[in-house]
Amino acid sequence: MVFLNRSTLALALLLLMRCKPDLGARESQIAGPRLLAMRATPAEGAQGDAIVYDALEVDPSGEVTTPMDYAYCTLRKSLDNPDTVSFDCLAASGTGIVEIGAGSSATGTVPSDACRNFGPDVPFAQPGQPQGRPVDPDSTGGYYQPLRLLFGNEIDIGQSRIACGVANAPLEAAAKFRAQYHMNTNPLVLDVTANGASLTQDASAPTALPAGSNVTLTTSWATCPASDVCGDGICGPDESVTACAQDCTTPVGCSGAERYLHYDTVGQQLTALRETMSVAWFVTGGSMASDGTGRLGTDLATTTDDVLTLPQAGPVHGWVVLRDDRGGVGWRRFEIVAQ
Amino acid sequence: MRRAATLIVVLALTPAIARADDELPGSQHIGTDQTQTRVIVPPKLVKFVEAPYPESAKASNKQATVTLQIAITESGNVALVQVVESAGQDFDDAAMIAAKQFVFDPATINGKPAAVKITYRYDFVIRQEVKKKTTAEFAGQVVDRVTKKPLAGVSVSLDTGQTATTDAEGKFSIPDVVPGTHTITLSGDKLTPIGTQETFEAAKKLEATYDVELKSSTPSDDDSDFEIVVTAPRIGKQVVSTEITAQEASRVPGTQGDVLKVVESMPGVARPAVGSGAIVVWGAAPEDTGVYVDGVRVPRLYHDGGYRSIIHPDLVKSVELVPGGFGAQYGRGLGGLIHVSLRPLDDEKVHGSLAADIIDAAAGLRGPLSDKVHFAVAVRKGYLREVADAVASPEVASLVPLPNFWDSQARIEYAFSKKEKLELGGLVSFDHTDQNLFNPDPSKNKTESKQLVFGRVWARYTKITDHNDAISVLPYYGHNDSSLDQHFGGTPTELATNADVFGFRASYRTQPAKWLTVSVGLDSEITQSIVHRSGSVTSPPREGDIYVFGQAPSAQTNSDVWSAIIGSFAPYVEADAALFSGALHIVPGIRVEPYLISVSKTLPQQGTNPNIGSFVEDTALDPRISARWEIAKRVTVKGAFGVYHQAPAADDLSAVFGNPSLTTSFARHSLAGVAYKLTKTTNIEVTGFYNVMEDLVARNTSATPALARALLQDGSGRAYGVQMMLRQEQIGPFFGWISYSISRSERQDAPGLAYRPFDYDQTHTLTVVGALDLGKGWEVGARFRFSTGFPRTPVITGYGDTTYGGQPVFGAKNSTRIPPFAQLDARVAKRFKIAKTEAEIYLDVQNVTNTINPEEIVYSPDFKTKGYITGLPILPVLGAKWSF
Repeated sequence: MVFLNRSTLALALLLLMRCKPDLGARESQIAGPRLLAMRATPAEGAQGDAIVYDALEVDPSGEVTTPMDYAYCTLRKSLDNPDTVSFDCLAASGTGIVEIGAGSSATGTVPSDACRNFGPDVPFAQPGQPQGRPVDPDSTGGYYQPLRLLFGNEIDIGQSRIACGVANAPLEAAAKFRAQYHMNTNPLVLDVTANGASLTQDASAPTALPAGSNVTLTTSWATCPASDVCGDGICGPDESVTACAQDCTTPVGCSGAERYLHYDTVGQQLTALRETMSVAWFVTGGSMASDGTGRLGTDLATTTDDVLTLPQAGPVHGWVVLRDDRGGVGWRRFEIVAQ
Repeated sequence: MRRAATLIVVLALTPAIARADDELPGSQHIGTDQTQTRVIVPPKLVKFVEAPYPESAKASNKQATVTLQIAITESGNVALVQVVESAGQDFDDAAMIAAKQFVFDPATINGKPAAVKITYRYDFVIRQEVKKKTTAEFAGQVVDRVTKKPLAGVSVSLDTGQTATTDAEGKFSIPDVVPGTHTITLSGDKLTPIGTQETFEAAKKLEATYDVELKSSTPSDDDSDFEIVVTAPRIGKQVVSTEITAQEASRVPGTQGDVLKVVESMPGVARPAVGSGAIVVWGAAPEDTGVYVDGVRVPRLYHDGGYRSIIHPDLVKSVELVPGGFGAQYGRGLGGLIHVSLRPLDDEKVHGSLAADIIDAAAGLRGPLSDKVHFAVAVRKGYLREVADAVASPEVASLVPLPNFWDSQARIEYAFSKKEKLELGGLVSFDHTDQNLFNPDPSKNKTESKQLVFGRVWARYTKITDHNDAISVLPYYGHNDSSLDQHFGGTPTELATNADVFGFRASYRTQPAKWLTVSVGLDSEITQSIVHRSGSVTSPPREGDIYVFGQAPSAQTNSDVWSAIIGSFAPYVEADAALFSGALHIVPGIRVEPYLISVSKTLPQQGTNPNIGSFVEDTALDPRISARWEIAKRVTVKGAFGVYHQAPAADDLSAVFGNPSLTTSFARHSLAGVAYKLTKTTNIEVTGFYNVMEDLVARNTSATPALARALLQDGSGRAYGVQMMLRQEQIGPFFGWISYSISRSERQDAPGLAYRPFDYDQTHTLTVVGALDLGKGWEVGARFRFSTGFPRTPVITGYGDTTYGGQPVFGAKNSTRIPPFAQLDARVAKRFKIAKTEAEIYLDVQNVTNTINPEEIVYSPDFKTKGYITGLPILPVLGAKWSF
């Protein structure tokens, strides 16, 4: 027997829900100086490759160019550390901090032991100790060399994807992976539009939009082929130098959601996946409906929308940071004035 | 009393005898000559004939002495009898007749037989008949188990046909019981007959007390059905335990009638986080406390979220929590013991119930199929998930982690006799919970799906032999199927375990001496598991991991599939020595348990290389001892010590995520306490404990761990504290208790590291429970709980990772706490009679005062702002139950 009606049940259900507190400013709101992104170019490199690093720093007044100090951190994090890097990487200098350079950008060389410290290569055994445990890859099969980013008094962490091959795969799969895995290419923001119209990047001539209105912002990126066609100029996961020298002698990637070869450790087989694309939205005024939007790899769309509620007046500096899930980064600014 | 007379004979060789000799013809002089030494040996009476006591004299209690002169021939026969001093004709005649039948060894003079005369005094005395009694006496009292009031009119019968009925004080007496073991039956017009056995010894009195329990939850024709619970000394009586009957438990606020939820309110149990249902006893990890249903181990006591237990309340007789120091019958756990006793299958009529509230609906049915066959079935279905889907928007419904659960139990028992029974039983429990937090950025989607399905089937054979020995054999089989499937963006956490459990318990209990009970048995269990896991090594987090609510798991993932067989076979022996008339009980025991651990992989999969497994045998020797001493009528002191082992979890034996070489962990429990009986129904008990744990499995903290060593067995722990329980058993309309624990539980993750608070450590836990029957079917109750918050690792500040977002910088592990918790719950119930059935409507209101209780610490995405997730506001739960 149930002596309850629908409204009582709804009330009881609401009461069962946990209460989560308001924790202040949103991620998309730029209220002070922030480092929004660091980019490695190329987006993925092997040991010994030269990589150019640059960063996107902003504050409420717009883009800033605080000198950035780049350094590799060569310290592995402990197995019980839930963070992305060793706590000791959060130091201006010291053991394990290898300086790269300072400025708006810096060029570093992927350390020669990066795949042993942060990849699938078996670490050197400690005296009297058994074989060490390699680092596990992320869900895309990637490994990352951490960077210490020092700007002003702040320290943040960047990650630079390193090409280290595949671990524990059968020989045939490992060989195929070496031949057909192509390093990542940074995504490129093709355009940012408001209600379908492109937004300018020129702060001196911002796009005027109605104050207090809701506008749909759209970020777009390149369309990548859904399947590999030799001669299309893009070296895909089903292609290799031997199978398609035309595209793969000097591999060229796609600046959108790329397809890539992935070793599935559960099924112990190679599969081709498409990158998931994420867009982080940042504004200095007004508010975004969502801090981030994006598309799964199974979603072939090349745009993503968010809604900006404009302030009652004044300029709005905005940025979108486009990321693929293999560590590639691209960004673009937009300038709006609410009036 | 019958009177009897016995003759006492006094044989005297006196000078008077010599003098009398002259008067007897043919006699020789006997005596001493001054010139010739004569050696005279008097005659010796070898055949005495008792003279019949004159009836006339016996009736008047008259006693007398007749002095006779007896002439004895050389051959020892009586030649002549004469009365020297008369005591009356009757006495004289009787004495002479008897004396003429006497036979003597003849007297000798210088070694030669000689005829002599002697004077013989024949005393007639009346004395009490001293006859060794050849039967026993049986006496005792029958009382109401709950109220402790004596019960009159209860028939106490022996299998000899002797019967007595209790008087107004509940007392009875049966004389002249033939020695031996007899079946005792307690019955009456309104009682369900129940039998027990007692052993009687000749010329001794056996006193017994029998408790009678009212089954108020199951109305019979006249609403006065009783269940008889016989109090019998059982070996392995735990030194520190709390047992709550189903009747009491169902009335505790916060349980919503679910009997087993009362465990959360017992002393020594930490208050679980809302919706967790985890049971933390004396600072032990939840998985270290074993849950048994009539001897069959089950994986959990509660469904997901802790809203309901896995056993229908109608099937439960009582639940007992033993926080530590338990006997040798149980093992495979470093923590406590929760034992659910199922209701005996002895109903004379069919009973059943239907119940429903906002959480679930349940039905139960039990009764006889014949005189010898009884059954019980029950089923329960939770519908919080369906309610959410029906009344809330899809987004909200998918956001709330509400379980979809059901459970069912079935039992059937065949009674060969009152002393020999066979039960077949089974239970199944199902839980499935989905939670989806979709984000416009798919890389931040959070989804979780978890499921646990398990079942147990068993056959239980019990017999009480003619010598009052108890035999129990319990084979059982179980299957566990659990899965966890989480995705945090593209990072998976998948863990699926499929396990078959084969168990066997057998015991034989005997009483070789009145003061000694001995139990021997075998407790074995084998679990064969196949485990699939993928995701981060640190997800799901384990005890001791640095973890902050809401933080994404490490993006570094791996996968593994492995199988493990973990088994142990534990013969045990335990004795209960009842000394000083039972005032002192010493219970030593020992359990020898070889653990067998087999794993399919000792190293991670390397390409297509064949895997190499391992097999480890690890024998545990677990001595246990406990003692209870009633040092005064109201005061009992207690103490216990024991060693306990526990095999590693199959989930921890992965070459990728764990360590295939793990073996057993162990703990030493030491406890001491005192119990004081304030009144017949009021007790206070204080217990101190100190438990040490070694070889605990902990995360490898190295930055360069060895292969297949993600977990190590270097951890240790300690838990110590004091718990107090002031309990008022049912007295009139009221029962309740106050329990308070102050404790500290710490872990050391590796040698050399500092001890840190255990994840579930709660310094203070206070529970106050009371229920009052207002009469006319109305009942009210309240429960107040206060507890210290769980430890958490503080986040000092945060930093940015340009790829993965904000990251926390942690302080010392578990060096801060969630703020304390305080909550008042209340319950109002009204019972109705509907014809011959009963209905109950109850309102169980949790958090009556709408107190805001922080349940978890949460941080902003940059980890620079802290807040709290708060618990449930005021939550009324309305329910109803109909019983027949």
